[in-house]
Amino acid sequence: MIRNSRSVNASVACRFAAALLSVVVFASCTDTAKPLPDSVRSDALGGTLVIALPRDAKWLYPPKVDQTLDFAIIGSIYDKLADIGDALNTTGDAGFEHRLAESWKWASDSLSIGFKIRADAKFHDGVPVRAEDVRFTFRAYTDTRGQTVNESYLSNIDSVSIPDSLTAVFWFKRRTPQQFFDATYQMFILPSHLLADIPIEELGTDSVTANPVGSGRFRYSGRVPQQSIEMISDTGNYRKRAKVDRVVWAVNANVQGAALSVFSGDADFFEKLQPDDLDKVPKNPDLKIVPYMQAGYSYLGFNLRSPQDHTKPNPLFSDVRVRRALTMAVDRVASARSVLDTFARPAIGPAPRMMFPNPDSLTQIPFDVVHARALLDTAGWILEPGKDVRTKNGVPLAFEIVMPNTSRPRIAYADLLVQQFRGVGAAATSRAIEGQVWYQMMLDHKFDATLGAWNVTPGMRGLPQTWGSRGMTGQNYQTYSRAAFDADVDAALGSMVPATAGRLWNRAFQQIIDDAPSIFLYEERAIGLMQKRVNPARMRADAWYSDLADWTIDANKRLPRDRQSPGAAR
Amino acid sequence: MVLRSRRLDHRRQQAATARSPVARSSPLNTFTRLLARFAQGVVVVIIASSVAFLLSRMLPGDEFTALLSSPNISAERVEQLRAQFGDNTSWLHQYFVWLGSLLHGDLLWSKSQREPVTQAIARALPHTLQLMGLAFSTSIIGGILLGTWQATRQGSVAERIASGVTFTIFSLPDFWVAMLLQLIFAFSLGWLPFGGKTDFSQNLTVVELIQQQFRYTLLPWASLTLVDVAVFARYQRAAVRDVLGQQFLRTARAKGVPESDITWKHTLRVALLPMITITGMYFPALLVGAILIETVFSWPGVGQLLIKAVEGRDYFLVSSIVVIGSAMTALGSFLADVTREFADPRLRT
Repeated sequence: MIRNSRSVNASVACRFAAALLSVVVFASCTDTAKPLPDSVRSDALGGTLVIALPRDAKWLYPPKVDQTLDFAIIGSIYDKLADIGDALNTTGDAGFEHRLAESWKWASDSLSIGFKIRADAKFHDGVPVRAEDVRFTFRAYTDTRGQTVNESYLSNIDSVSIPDSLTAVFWFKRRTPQQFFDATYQMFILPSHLLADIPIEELGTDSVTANPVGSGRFRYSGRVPQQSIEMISDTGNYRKRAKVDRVVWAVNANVQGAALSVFSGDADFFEKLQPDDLDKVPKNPDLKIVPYMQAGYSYLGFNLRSPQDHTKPNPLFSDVRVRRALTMAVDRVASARSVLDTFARPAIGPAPRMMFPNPDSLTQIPFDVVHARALLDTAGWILEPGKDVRTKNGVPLAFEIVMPNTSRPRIAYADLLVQQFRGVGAAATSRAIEGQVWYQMMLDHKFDATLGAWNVTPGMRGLPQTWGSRGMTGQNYQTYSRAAFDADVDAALGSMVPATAGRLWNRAFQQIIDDAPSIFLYEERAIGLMQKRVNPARMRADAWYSDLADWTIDANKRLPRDRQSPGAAR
Repeated sequence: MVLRSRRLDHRRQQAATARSPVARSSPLNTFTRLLARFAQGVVVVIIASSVAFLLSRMLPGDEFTALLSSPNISAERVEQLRAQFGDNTSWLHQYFVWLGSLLHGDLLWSKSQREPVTQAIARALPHTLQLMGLAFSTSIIGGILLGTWQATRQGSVAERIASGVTFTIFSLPDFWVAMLLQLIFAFSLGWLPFGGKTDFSQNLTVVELIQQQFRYTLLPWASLTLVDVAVFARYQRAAVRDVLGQQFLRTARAKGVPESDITWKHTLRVALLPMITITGMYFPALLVGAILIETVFSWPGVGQLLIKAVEGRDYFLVSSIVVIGSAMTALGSFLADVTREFADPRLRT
């Protein structure tokens, strides 16, 4: 009986194992990553580009978009009147590329610009783009009843008039160097024929804007929430069809998931590979890295006010000698290389060097540990014999560095900072915290020092918010306030003469470098992770997706996902 | 002496009767007990979801805080948006509005998903049910089979190896197992995808569609099942061992009942009773999902939705998912109790 029972059990176990093995074989026997034969497509057009996202898009309605990820999607579906050039010039209209506007004309007093709309430009539903759409778009962006976020950049535009159906005239309140930039860069032109009758408060959450209709080289084709957003090439577009048939924005749970989807071949591109994943790329013969410039920088900001009582200066950091000494203690060149290898270089100040007229003219605080120690001694922070940490009136030179837990380079850099500060007798600790908690801590100014980062839009219009007195109750987390800096920044932003603006920027930047409210640590090149079958076009520093419609996929490296359903790309 | 002996016998009999579940149970008692458990479950759901609402409300930041990551948006504008579109009433007021809506069956609006909460959960639910339902059923069956086999082979080499393996897996966190499987089968061997649910191929035949679903479900399913089989097997092994030495099995053997029938019919029937309770504890996972597994594999289920809701300070969505989770916990426990009442003849009159 026992023998029979054992044979029965063995038989059951064998059958179970066989079933399991056949399931695995069945599941893996179709490898959708194998390339299709060359006969499928013989030209460079076509294919499906899968772009991995670290989260789902929040908005597909342009006036509410504030995140780069969402801009990447709407920037492919919608068009602007004109787009900024590679040089990211925001003064006048030099370098701007035509989009919906085939031409423009400045008034003699420069207080208005008339844009002539292309007669052949159409929205994806076939309705021609007209001047009324431009006027409606301005209203949609600036009406504060909608939950819009960028209307402050349009505050110099008084109104938009339409003398005829193809001409939209922007009227400005005053002359500024960035008038043309304001009229074109911020606004994606919306279809008034679809949206004008919807209450402005409902735009963005209504069913119409959930299926965006633009005039870009891609048309929206569908969305599966939390999974994907798809767009297909608009083959009848006035600027010619996009070169790939289809783009799928594939949603992942987080940054790591997005990168892994490219490593596995399920996606073709992820915009920001973390530096410590770089060593995995050479092991995969199908992958390549695509570095591109980013318009941003990272910094260590010192809170100049006491975290416990904002009316009082910070006992550690209110003294500029301490700030300069701590800046001297950091080898920014070696630290950037250690964390990001050749993909980062020391920052020059509160903007990336690509936006600054003459970065080499600035005098940076040098890396000089000996001088740093001497400066701290002068400031009264004494290192007692046998001690590691300096003190002043019984107060140790000890502080905490906080940063969001989403940035691995910053977390790694924080460790280097802690070590280097120890070398001059400062005891720093670092703590990574959840993003929302970090933001709230910054707004409440309840921190000692913070490792932050800013993306800078062309024109540096955000500087007064982040480093000026105007931003003291907002994003100027360090509460840095210097009248001379404010005046120079405002004057630079308002100067119509590039040479004058350059001189003013130089003076403002030198002021803030000398004051050292922050250590401007590094500006990094983003590291895109890409399948070798993909050939990217230009990847602009402020918008890597700007020429997504010109990306191609090698014809001899097509995959089953490159097959299109009938009518998918007309 | 006879009289004392009779009194002692009577007292012993009374004590034994008092302990007897048969004597304690009657249909009315059973109904009353189950009704009390149901009412208890309702109270637990309300308390758990209230705590979740209040705790999430206490988290720093709100849906507008993240706007400050862009230097283009001034703090003043953020405040304007908060005043215009945020809920500026006290958290107590918000709680009672939410509770009142909940009691009317309205889960309100999800700010992070920009749709009704019900719709957001209904969209994510099938994905969670697919994964968890599959994992749950295979784990139960696998755990019962393995645990029973282990108990009947106690002391053998094969059983010792199996026990070692299940103990090791039992000790591992399921997300770690998930990452290990990803490393081996997705990254190193390239046999299976890392995560998600589709490779975005179009024009698939039915067979290709099924194959695609298999490929994308296999690793998350395996991550959950491996650990849960080990868990269930250990409980089942202990339960079977407790039953194996009992009198009625010796009687069955003496009557000539085959050993396989003794194991798989008579023993298992009794040994399954504790598993009913454990299954009830597992019930809430069917809807709320395995949050960490869904994150590792970018599985678009309710667990992922909860993570996004917490990150986005979407209080209504967080609380609603907690309501569902705690309701499922209470329901699972209740169903387990009901099932035991019927499955265990000792509890029936």
